[in-house]
Order: sequence, then structure tokens, then C-alpha cells
Amino acid sequence: MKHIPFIANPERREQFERAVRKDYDESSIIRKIADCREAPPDESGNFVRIGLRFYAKPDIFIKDYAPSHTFVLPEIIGLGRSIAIGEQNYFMSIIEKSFTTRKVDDMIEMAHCLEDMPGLDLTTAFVPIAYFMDLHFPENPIYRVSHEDARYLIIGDRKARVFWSNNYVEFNKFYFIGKGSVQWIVKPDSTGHSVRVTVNPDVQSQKFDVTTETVARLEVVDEKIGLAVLLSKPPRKEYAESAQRVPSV
Amino acid sequence: MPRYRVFIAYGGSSALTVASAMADCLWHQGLQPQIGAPGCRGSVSVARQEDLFRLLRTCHAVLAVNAAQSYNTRKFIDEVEMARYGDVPIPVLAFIEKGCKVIYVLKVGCTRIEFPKGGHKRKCANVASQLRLEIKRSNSVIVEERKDLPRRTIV
Repeated sequence: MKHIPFIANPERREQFERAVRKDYDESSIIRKIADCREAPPDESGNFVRIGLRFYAKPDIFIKDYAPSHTFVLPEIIGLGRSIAIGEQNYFMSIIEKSFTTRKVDDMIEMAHCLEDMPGLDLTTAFVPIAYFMDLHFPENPIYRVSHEDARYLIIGDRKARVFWSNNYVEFNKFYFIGKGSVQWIVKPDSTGHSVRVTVNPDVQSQKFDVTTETVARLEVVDEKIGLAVLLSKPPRKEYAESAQRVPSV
Repeated sequence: MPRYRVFIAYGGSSALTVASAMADCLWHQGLQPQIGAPGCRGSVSVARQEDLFRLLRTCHAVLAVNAAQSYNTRKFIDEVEMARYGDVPIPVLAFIEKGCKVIYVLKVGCTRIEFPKGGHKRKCANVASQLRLEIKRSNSVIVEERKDLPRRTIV
């Protein structure tokens, strides 16, 4: 059997990097919700790494390791998405620590809280998914969800991009973010992209040690132009689950 | 192992038959199926399509069953698009009957498992294992900059 050097094919490595970055660019919401700036590599501060490190099989990066008559695509689906999800989790954890939480009875009172902040130039709202139906079929005319180029939450005469919680980014409060309240600071790699991809051969294990990550931090510039709200009134529930009902095999 | 919630999207009556069977077998594989169809494991009855969209966002992954008649099903396309291009994209596993026309959003950017007509149940363990892997891959790690990310098994 011919000897195959354990070195990643440059074109397969490049395609892998492109795929991770494309997936990230399509999934990340951070540039839609925060002012961003790039930091030099030596900038200090509480920067974090967000991403995954794993072993990949050699046929991803070395064409000749694939079984004969088989083409292995040099891509792993979901790596960019996982960075985007991690970013959002980190983002939520920081604003949860920084923003003041107001406890109110219902959504009408929540609207009054926002009215009490006349300087708030609202840009983004994070909403617990449990309130999805309340906002799509509101009982009061203050709230409305609008589907334009993106989804917006209309509250009286204010309009904010709306993002819902889900199983990967869970929260049970409403978060309202005003323009200029937060800044996302990222350390790009040498190519200038926010996502760093490193691929190192591990000859002993005959695998590649792969890291896909972003290095960034969130700075809360002014916590007074942001607000967290916890509602006492539970969301409406219109559906019925019957997960255990029919044990048909 | 956690019983992850998996939304099963389908288009057309052939896909519904496959989806119902997959709901049952995914349950036996330790997953929690959620499907907008009556009379099967994990069935959810909703009054409005919006509520199904809400439910989809509470799931860890979507199994998109594409069989004969799926190609022009608007509801099916909407559900898959919402999962793939929503605020936080949800992993989508395309489960495709061989020889059928496939909706555009399932052609690229998601993992595909094909099955021959009538052979979907034999793929169930593979589908369940792939779904778990996709879910695991969606959870990144956050560490301080001075530390290295811990190595995980995701492929």
C-alpha cells in the first residue's frame, strides 16, 4: 500500500474553512443586535472562546484516505451554527447580569415600563417563546409582530427586531435593548474573519485535531438603555400534546 | 440520555405515513417526537399553523420527511425554512425517499438520509443517532480566552 503523507490537502482545508464561515455568517445574529468592533490580538479584557474542538477523520482533509470510488465532502454541517448559538448564549448571560429586571403583572404594564424610558431608542427585543401566541394574537392593540424583511415587535410607536428563545438559547424574561447599550468586540483571525479554524494533524491517533471558534466579548456600554422584564401572568396555551396517548407500534 | 424533542415535518400523504412510523420508532429510540398529525406518538393538535411554528421552535431538531407529493407542499416548505433560517437555526435532518423530487431547502446545507420506498423503519436507528449527533454539535463550549476549548466527540 502506498504511503500517504498525513497532511491536510490545502484545497480541502480551504473548503472546510469556507463552509464553517458561511454557516456562521448565515446563522449569527450578533451584528444585527449590537455595535461591533474588531480588537487587536493583544487587547486584554474578559474575552472568551466560543466554539468546538474535536477530532475529525482523515478523509475529510486528505482525499486519498477516502474509500475507493467515494467522494467525502470536506465539510461538517452545523459548526458555524454552533458558534452562533454559543455567541447568543454568552450575550444573554451578560445582559442578564447587567440589566435591571422589572417584575410586572402583564404585557400592558410592561408597555408602561417602556414608556417610562423615553430616551430608549429600542432596537432589539428578546422574547420567551412561550409568549409567541400572545404576541401574534394579542388581546390588546399595543403589541403586534410584523413580518417584513425580518420579524419585528411593534410596541405602540416603537419597533424592534424580535428574537425568540428556544432550546439552545433559553430565557424566561423579556429583554429590551436600546441603541448603543452594548458593543460586541471580536478578535478576528489573520484573514480578518471572526471565525478561526485550526486544523492540526495528530499522527499518533491518525485524526485531525480541529478547532472552530470565535474570540470575543460583550461590553455593556450603558445598562440604563436596556431592560429585562419578568411577567407574572403566564402565557396563553392553545395547543394540546398527547405524547403518551397512542402507543401504536 | 436526555429525551430530546424532535419536530417531524412532512409534506403529502405518503410522507405522513412515513412520519407517523418514524414518530413511533424515534420514541423507542429515546427521543420525544412532536408531530402535527392525529393518532400517532407525539401527536400535537393545534388550532392555528402559528402554534405549530411556535412548537417547532421549542424542539431540538427537525426531521424533514420528503416523499412523493412533498415537493409542492407549502406548509412543509415553510416549516423547514423556519427551522433552517429562523432566529437561531435548528438542526434539520432530511429524510428522503429515493427517487422523489426534493424541496430546494433540503438539497444543500443539511444532513441527508435516504430510504427506499417502504424501507424507512430500517433506517430508524441511524436517524436517531444522527439526530443526537446534530444536537450535540449545536451546543458549543464557552471558555476564557486563556484556556483551550475541551475536546468533544461530535462526528
